This record gives sequence, structure tokens and C-alpha cells, in this order.
Amino acid sequence: MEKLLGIDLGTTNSVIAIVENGKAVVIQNKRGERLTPSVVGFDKKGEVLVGRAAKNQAVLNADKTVMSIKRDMGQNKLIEIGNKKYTPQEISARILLKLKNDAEDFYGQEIKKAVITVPAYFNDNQRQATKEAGLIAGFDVLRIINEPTAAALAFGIDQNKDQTVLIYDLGGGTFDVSILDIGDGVFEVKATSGNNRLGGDDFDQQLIDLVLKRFMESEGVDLSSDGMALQKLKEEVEKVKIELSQTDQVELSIPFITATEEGAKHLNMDIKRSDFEDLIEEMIEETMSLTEKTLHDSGLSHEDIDEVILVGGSTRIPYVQRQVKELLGKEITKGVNPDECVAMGAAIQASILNGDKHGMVLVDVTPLSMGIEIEGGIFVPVIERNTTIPAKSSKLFTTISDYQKSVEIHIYQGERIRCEDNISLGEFQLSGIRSARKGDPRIEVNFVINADGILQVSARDLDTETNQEIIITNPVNLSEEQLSKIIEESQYHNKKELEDLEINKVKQQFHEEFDKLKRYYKSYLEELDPSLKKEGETLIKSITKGSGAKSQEDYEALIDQIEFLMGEIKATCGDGKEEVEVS
Amino acid sequence: MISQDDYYKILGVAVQANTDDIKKAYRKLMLKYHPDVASEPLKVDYFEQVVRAYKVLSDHKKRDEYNQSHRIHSNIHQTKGSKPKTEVNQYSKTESKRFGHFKFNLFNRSKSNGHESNDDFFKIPKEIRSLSIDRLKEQLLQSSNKYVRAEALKAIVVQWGKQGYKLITHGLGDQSREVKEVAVRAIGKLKIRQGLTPLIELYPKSGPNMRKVIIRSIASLEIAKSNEWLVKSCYDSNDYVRLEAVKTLKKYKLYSYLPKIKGLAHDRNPEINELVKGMLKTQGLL
Repeated sequence: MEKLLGIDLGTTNSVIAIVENGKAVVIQNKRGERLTPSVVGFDKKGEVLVGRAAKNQAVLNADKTVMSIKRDMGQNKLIEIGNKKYTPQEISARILLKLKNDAEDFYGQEIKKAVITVPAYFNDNQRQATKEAGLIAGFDVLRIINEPTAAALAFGIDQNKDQTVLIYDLGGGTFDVSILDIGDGVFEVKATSGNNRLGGDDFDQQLIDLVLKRFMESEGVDLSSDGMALQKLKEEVEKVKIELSQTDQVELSIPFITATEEGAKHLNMDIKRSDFEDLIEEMIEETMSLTEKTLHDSGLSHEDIDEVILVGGSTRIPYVQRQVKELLGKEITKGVNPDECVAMGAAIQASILNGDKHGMVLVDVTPLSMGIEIEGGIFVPVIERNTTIPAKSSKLFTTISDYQKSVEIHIYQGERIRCEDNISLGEFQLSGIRSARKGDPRIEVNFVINADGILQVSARDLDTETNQEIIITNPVNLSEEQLSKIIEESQYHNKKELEDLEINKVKQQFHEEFDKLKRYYKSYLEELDPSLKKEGETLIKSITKGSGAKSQEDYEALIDQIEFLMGEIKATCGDGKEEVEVS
Repeated sequence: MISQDDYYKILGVAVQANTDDIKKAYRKLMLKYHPDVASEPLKVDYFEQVVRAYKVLSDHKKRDEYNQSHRIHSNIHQTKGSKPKTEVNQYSKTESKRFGHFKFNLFNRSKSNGHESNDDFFKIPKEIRSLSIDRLKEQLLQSSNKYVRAEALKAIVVQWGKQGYKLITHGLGDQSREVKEVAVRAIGKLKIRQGLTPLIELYPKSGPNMRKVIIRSIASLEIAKSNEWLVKSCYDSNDYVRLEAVKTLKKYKLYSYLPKIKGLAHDRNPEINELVKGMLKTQGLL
């Protein structure tokens, strides 16, 4: 059966899952990890490292390592690595490509289709950028779905009762809260809200600031401009944060974090859980008021919530759990893995969309209002936030000056009253308006959002029947053409880089084997019989002179020869002295 | 075809159906027609109707309102033809918004309900509150959209209070009724005594509704001069304005002026008549 991938593309970690025999399971990556760090590194040889390998070299290669790229999604910004520039989509695509390869390795078959999750509060540009990243990685993206909704799917799939659940999702970079009504196989989102810039990364930053301040006080050294020290600190502080969920106090110790005229400086300090709680209090408070707002939007009260589900690594923080419990007056639902349920839900949605799973449907809402600009830069929503999608709505507008011939329809998304504070999604012009005094023409603006979340806006002069429309599929300033070019190029690059990666691996193996052979040969020289001696000499000489090997196959052939010869030597002088080291 | 606003028919439930029945029916429709799972999904238009019907019928308050406006009694079956179409048509001209339209409903409301409290009237969205005074000033003085000007003036009143006096009196001279109303109410709300003369000047140039607003504002200044003027306005030619003036007089317990309006005990408007008589009685003047 065709494999469909569910991908939780997280700020700090990503997870992949697949539905097998009707059950969603998380797939380990090549290293056997269930969580793949969302880190991309470009090493000195220009090789791209993704995941743990990239994270491990981050300290030594800070300026060529990209972390938390999710926070840049949907922005028109470029990430400069060396002399090359990458869009956030391209960086994300590296992560997705690795996840794809890991899954394909695991199953030994190609996997094309995927559902990728995003924070519920992501705007249209951020969603489109995520979809593009998927396309660049070679996926057929079935759908972009909301993380809390996915978590609810994973939670509710085995439950045979009517219930209202609240998902509190605090991850590495984003916060979401959603309320869903579940029953009879229908998962209906009632309301959702969030903050795209609030998560574990911010908690780390608070801790870093605290440490920097204390270090400045005690040692008089400012570490804030020392890239390497900061990277090291970032790593250690994350560990401290995690430990503080278990213990009340953690000793942070980073020997030789820097040096001054007086010599090396070491960082040693105790961090208390209460220190940490003070640092994050305000941010957690914000999540609480967003939770209240969402309850209000859904028209429900605390008592109506049956289950409270925590999602995202940051919900492991005891302070967070305490606050949620207090706010909702309810125990947290147990048995939900906060790291894995999102990817599992995505996998489930993939099989629903593919028609593999019956009797279930996800009914989601649009998290942000969508509308147009009117005079004075004021935003008028045409589709309000928390509207069930697919949706359709229209409003009438008119002209502001006499005999106005055309109007600009500028489409925005957001909740702020001024357009400039909202996200621009696109614009078009409607011309051929009936010549009339201001306020007379009737212009109907019509918004349609389909289940994919794609917005289509049209405007029509009701008197002249002229109309114009725009489909907002690509708001990240990329034309269809540009996009397909990027996809094509990056697939070529990805393929080429993968090939290079394989060759490099084989090359390295070859060099290792060859060195070993030389050592063996030298150490056993006395004991070797003449024919073997001759053979060894010839091979070593020919390789040293220049093997002429270019392709992967060439190197593999050489490795075979070396291994064969070593086997022979071992067999004749076989005393197990494999570890013999000769300088 | 099912009528667009027959929510019970759209969901396929009886008018007596309870919330659980309605939810079950809705979920069945979703499983059958949601575009993600349906082999022949509903068009967005119909899907949207199903959602709208559910949103109304699953909410007790909204359902009651719907039933009332459609003359549906949950225990009586109603024939379809007799249902009046009271729902406001979204596309009707009255709902038409300008490019530049702003809070249209707000002014509609204040027109129909002259007694809307100043507190409600001056409620402004958080987003506007955070705008700078300069920006608001610019909106007030330069926008060609009266709603933008009105909303900007409101924000100025809320943020700046009496300091915004000059802009408020400027607002009294605005050509639009909406902006004028904000200015008139602001003078009363902030008790700007210097506003008395401009208000008195504006009074004869205004229509009955605006005159009512002016009366309330002037009365809330609570100074002798304003009280004396209020007594004069009790003889306005318009019945409703007169009534408003008398009511206001009563609200501020200005009984010492009662002898001056004694004549209104025989007013042609019976409501005024009653009101004045009542006051005279309680004050022992009748």
C-alpha cells in the first residue's frame, strides 16, 4: 500500500509518522531517533548536514548553521551562508528532504505524499511558504494542517464518545490554543488562537540573558558578542531548562567559556527553578489570556471543556502545567505524547484525504480574519476569524470620489484595524465602474476559501457586471514560473548533493582502508610470503601513484581489492593482531 | 430547492429537535458532504449554508432569535409560505459599505436609539486607542470619509479628554452629522463648559435628533447658564425634542425651574403632559 507521511515540521525538532494497519506510528530517523533536530548546517566542504549532525557541529560552525528557520517562514528574507543566499523555504526543504529520505530508507520505498503541520496561527503567507518547502523537497503536499488540530485527531481517533477538548500547544517557537468538538468521527474546530513568536526558544533566550548578566556581574566579561560562547551557552541552557522540569536547582558549568588577559574564564552558576519561572511568567501569562480569549470566541466556558491536552515540548515545564490546570480548573489529560501526537495526527489526516480512512473528517476554521482595505488604510474583514472552512462571504462597497473609474482591491489578513498592521495577501484592480457620483456604485467583493485554505477573491460592479478576480495561492512574491524553477533547481541540487555525499563517504572509507592496508603491510612485511609481498607492493604503489578513480564504483572496486589483500595477509599471518599500530 | 433561510430543513431536523439531534444531523452532513471526504462534495455555497444553519440552531440564544423572527414555535408546525422574510439581506443597499466606510452600524444604532449612553458611544477598539494623536488628528482633518473622521474624533476624545477641545469644536463645524454628533456628545461627556455657546448656536441649525443630543450634552454641563437654556428648549416645536428636554430636566432634578414650564402640563403631547404634572405633584406645586 502507498505510504503517506505525516510531518510535524517543528521549530526545534521535527517528527514523522505513518499510518500502519490503521494506527499512526512514529518513524525513527537513520540514527534511530524519534525526534530530528530542525537544524541545517553547511560544513567547510560545502556539504549540507541536517538534524543531529548539524546540531552537533553548531558550536564550531555557528555562522553556517541555521536553527529555528520556522520563525522566518513566509517572510521575504534571505539567509546568507557563505556567499550563497537561501530562502526560508529552501532551508526548510533541506529538513523535509532528510525526513523524506529517512522514511524512505525505513520502508525501502519511495514516499511522495505528505501532510505537513503548521501552527494554527500561521498566516496564509507562512502556510504557503511551508507548502513550497514541501514541494521543493519533492513532496506532493496533500494538505497543510494545524498542529493542535492534528494533535486532537491523534487523541480522539480511538475515543468513542462526544467530547470537547482544549489543546494547549506550546512548542519551541510558537504557541497555539484550539478548542474542538469531537464525536461521531467529526472533529470540528470551534475556535483557535495563538502567537507565532512565543515558545521554548524565547525561554532559552531569557535564560541566556540571565546568565550573561550574572557573568558580567561576577567576572566583568561581556559574552554577548562572542558567537561561539553564545552558541555553547545556548546548548547548555536548553539542557538546564529541561533539567529544571525535574529538579529545583541545576548547576550550569561551562569550563573555559572565554579568556581575558588574566587567562581562561569558566562559567559556574546555580540556576533555581524559581529563577526560571520568574523569567517566563509574563510569557506564560500571555498564553493564558489567549486561552481565555479562545474560550470566549468558542462561546464556551471552563466547565464545557472535557479534556485538556498539552502538546509541544515546552508543556513539560511544571509551571506551565500548573498554570493551565489553575486556569481551566481541570486535571491535564494523561497519555498523550506531547512530542509525537502532532505528526501522528498529520499521518491520520493524510490517510483520510487519500481515502484510506473512512468515517472521519476534520472540519477546521480560518484562524485569522481576511478582508480588504478601505479608505484611510482601514481594514474591513469579509471573512471573520474562526469561520468554518470552506467558506464564502461577500460585502458591498462603493466609491469615494465622483466619477471614479476603478477601485484597488487590496487583500489583507489579520485582526488589526489598520491594514499596515496586518499581513498583505495580494491586490488587484477593478476598472470599468459605472460613471456616477461617489457612493453610488455598488461593488460586491466576494471571498471564497476552499478546504485547502486557498483564497479566491473577486470583485464585481453590480450595475455594469464588470468583474475581476484573483486567486491567492502564492503570496510570497513568487510566480508559478519562479516557483517551478526553484523546485527544479533544488531537486537537481538535492540530487547532486546526495550523490556527492555518497561519493565522499566511499572516498573516506577508501582512504581509511588504504591507510590500514599500508600499516598492515609494513608490520607484517617480514612474515609475508613472496607472492603476497609482491601483490601488496604493486597495489600500494599503483594507488599511491594515482588510482585514477573517479566514480563511486571506481572507489568501491579499489576497496574490494584492498579488503581482499588484507584478508589474505590476515589469513597467512593470522594472529589477530588487527589493532597493531605502526607509526 | 430548500429555501436558503430554512435552517431546520437545511439540516433535515424537525423544529422540535433538541441540541443533540441537531449536532448529530450536522455531523452526518459533514461526513457525507465535506469536500475532504465526499465523492461529490457540496458546493461552497451549500456547505456554507449548512454551517450557518448549525451555528444558529446549536446556540440556544441564536436559535430563539431565529425562531422568533421566523415565527417558529418549537411545538407548533408552521407552514412554509407564511414565514415572513425578516432576515436582513446581506446584499441590500442599506448594508452597503463605502470604501472608507467605518462602523456604519454604530451610527445606525445611535439614530434609532437616542438614549445610547455616552460610555457605549465612546467605546473604541483597542487598535485605535494605540494610535498616536498626530495620526488621529490627520485622520480627523484630512479624511474625506466621514466615518473615519468620526471615529478619529472619538479616539481623540477618549485619549486626550479636554485637551482635545479645539479639535472637538472643530468637529462641531464638520459637514457630516456623524462627526457633529461625536463633538456634541464629547462636550457633554467631558463637561467642557466653553462648549455651551457653540452648542447653543448649533441648536437651531440642527434636526430634531441632533437637537436631542445637544439637549443631553448641555444638561450634563450642569451650570446655571446651561440649566436656564434647558428650560427654553422645553418649548421646542418638535414633540419629541420637547419630551427629551423635559425628561432631561427631570433626570437632573432641576425642580426649581418647574414654575417656568408649568404651561407644559397642558402640552399637546400627553406624555409630556403626564411627566410635568407628575413632577409638579411631587414638588407640591399642583
